[in-house]
Amino acid sequence: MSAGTALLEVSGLAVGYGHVGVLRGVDLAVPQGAIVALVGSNGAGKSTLLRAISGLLRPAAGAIVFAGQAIAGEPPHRIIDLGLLHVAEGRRLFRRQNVHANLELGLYGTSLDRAEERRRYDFVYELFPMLAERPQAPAGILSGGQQQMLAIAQALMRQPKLLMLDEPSLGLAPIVVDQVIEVLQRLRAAGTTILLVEQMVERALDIADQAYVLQNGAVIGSGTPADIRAGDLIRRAYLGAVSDRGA
Amino acid sequence: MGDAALALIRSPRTRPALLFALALALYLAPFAVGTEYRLFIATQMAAYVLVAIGLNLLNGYSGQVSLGHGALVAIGAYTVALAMVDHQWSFWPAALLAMVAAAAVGAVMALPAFRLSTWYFALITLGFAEVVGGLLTEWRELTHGFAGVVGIPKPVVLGHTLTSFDLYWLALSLNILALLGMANLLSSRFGRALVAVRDNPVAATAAGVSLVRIKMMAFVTSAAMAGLAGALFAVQKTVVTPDDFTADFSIFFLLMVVLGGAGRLWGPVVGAIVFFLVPELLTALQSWRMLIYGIALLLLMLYAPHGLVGAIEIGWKRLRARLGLSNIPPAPSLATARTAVEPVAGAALSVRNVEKRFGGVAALAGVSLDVAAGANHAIVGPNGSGKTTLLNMISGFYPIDSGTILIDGRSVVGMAPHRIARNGVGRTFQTPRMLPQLSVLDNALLGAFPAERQGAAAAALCLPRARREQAASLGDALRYLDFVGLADRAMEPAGELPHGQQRLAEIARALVGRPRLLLLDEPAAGLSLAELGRLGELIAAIGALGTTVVIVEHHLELVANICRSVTVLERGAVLASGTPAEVFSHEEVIAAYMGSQASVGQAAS
Repeated sequence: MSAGTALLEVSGLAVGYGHVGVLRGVDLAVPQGAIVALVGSNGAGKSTLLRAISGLLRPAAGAIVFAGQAIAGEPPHRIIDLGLLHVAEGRRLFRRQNVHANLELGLYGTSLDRAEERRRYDFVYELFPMLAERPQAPAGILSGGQQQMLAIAQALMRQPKLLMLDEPSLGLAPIVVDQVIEVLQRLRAAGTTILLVEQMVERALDIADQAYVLQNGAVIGSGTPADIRAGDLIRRAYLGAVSDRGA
Repeated sequence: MGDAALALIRSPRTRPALLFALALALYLAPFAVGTEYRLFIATQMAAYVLVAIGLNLLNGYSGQVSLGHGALVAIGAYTVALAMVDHQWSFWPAALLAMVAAAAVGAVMALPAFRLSTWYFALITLGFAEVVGGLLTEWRELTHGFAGVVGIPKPVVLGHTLTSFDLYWLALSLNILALLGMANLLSSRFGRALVAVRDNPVAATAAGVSLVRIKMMAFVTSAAMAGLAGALFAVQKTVVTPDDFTADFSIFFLLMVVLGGAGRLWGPVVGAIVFFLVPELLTALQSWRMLIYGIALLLLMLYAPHGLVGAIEIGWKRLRARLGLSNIPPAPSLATARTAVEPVAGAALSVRNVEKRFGGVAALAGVSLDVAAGANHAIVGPNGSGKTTLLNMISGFYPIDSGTILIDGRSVVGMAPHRIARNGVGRTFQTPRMLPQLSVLDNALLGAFPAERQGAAAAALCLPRARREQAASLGDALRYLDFVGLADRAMEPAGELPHGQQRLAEIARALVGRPRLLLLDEPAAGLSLAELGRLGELIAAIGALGTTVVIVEHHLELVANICRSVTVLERGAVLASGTPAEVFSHEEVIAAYMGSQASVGQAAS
């Protein structure tokens, strides 16, 4: 893939909490229109990478270029306005607000005409029929899976160019995981680029065009899912972490 | 920076020696610089510090705001004054009575705290202080009204009347004892329980901690210390009047705690030095005092929200980090930590026709299931089918609408959740409920709360029995952290662990309580493949100890590997139950729940 077609390009990104380095010079490129999977064991730095890209963490060094603009160190709201949305791990919703109000908050700060707003509600309700069933239910009483759907739907209200998802399958019934996977494929078909962090590595590789393997805050390999499966990168990334902990 | 300073930073073990030297200097100081005025101020400050240490227990550690502590001091002071002047009591029994009276009033004052949230409660304590202030002036037959009580004699020991020197030493000794007792109490099970009640009441309850009892303990202890301080105050000033105990007085104590550093052992001491002693010594600036106060208050709130001690702690950690030193203390090593964990007698679970409605929605519509003692049982089903609700009913977090739940043949319906936990039911939550500021080890130790028998007094005095219990719990906690594979992260703050490891730490906490029935709510969510494999082994190992395990989980391979029986819920009712092989090949289950994971059915058969 040539750098010219990349929607998001990260180079030499370093992030530290206090004096501990969590990301150590990460390079990553997400091509326009692709699903890119980011895999690695817990603590490898996947969520930290997403948080740095979306402006929730300030990088210590490195560059992040999104749609031709340097965004490293920009505040999160400006990055969102550029069309880069981050659905964080753990269903960050307004629990007392109902489903519809949560979706409405997804539009906060935009100025769309009525027809366009209507179209976006229709789009997400059609994508997630289980939300359309109870638009007046407070988010807090939805089941875990429904909350996850709502969190994704909220981000989609802005029609992101790049959607970053942190563990969308967390706590979902297998059949709902199927639905989420299907939704991601439909979004890609509609032109949305996706950066996916997922512990269900096989499911993620099934739909990804490209994958990166992260270990101890650095990329240890990348390529097509077939390349990744062929090598022993995955085994190294996960089992390596286990033997580290065992020591 | 000098070598001595560097050596000090490198080894915090010099602290006890430094503190001992400080205490010695304070004891000897009167011989060098003791004037009547200075001793008077120092003794008064010691009385204030005593109140603030107690208030810190209440406000800093258990999270309750009291704007009425001045009134508790007043009760202590008036009790001593009236007993000594009107009834010719000796100081010592009068001081004891002052503590008992303040503690009793404090207990009554605590009652609304169990129903009201923090600030409403704070307003109630403020009202309470006003009532006491009113009684002091109006109940003239008892309190002598505005004039107050005059001519309070000095305490006498064996015929010797205490001088101002002696009073200072007495007050200083009480301060040192209070700090030592508090340090012991806070490092015991009560310290962890207090923080848990403040930061995560749900986790506290699941660990078997009674929120009511812990809050009550904090109140009564805090009130008794205020009463004792009042007793000192009375004999030191020899006069008590209602004007000594205005609403400002209560707020002054709260400021000392908050600005010194709430929830930090030394916070009240530093607060008292900065906000009482310094202004008192700068008497030339008397007229500017309130202005300096106000500005200091604003600056501190802006730049040191955790108080002075909090700011010092943060600076200290930064300094150590800059010198390349770790801020994570070494883990305690214990010979017992390596011994194997002991087996438990599992409890049988029987759920019969349990129903639960939220508003008009039936979350559970007559669910029954049986789990034999020592078995591993899974509850699966679509999101929103009532799995977590069922766990919440079994552990008592939700009241039951109808039906019965028996654990080892005993009904737990209507039992408080902390009592169910004490009866051997451990649980984890979908989102791990950790105390993020405490270490992983302290989080695990919270699980040992119900197993320990020591009372608060034994813990504060660090009696040998309490020490033995604490050592045993520490051994248990280290052993179970090792068991779940977190031994090397034991001393890190729990909030800094990745999600998946917080889950394992939460399981370790539940295991430390040696549950006979363990309820796990989606333990595999967010775990990597390797961690998933370890979790499977871990649950199998827990089952092998004899514990009955009920697990809500979506990872069907995990379920098929570790469970002999499965219940499938759908819309609050049992859709199917049986062995994993039977259930996962059930057509309706595949259609409603499994989708493309149906191959697990073949794998399990």
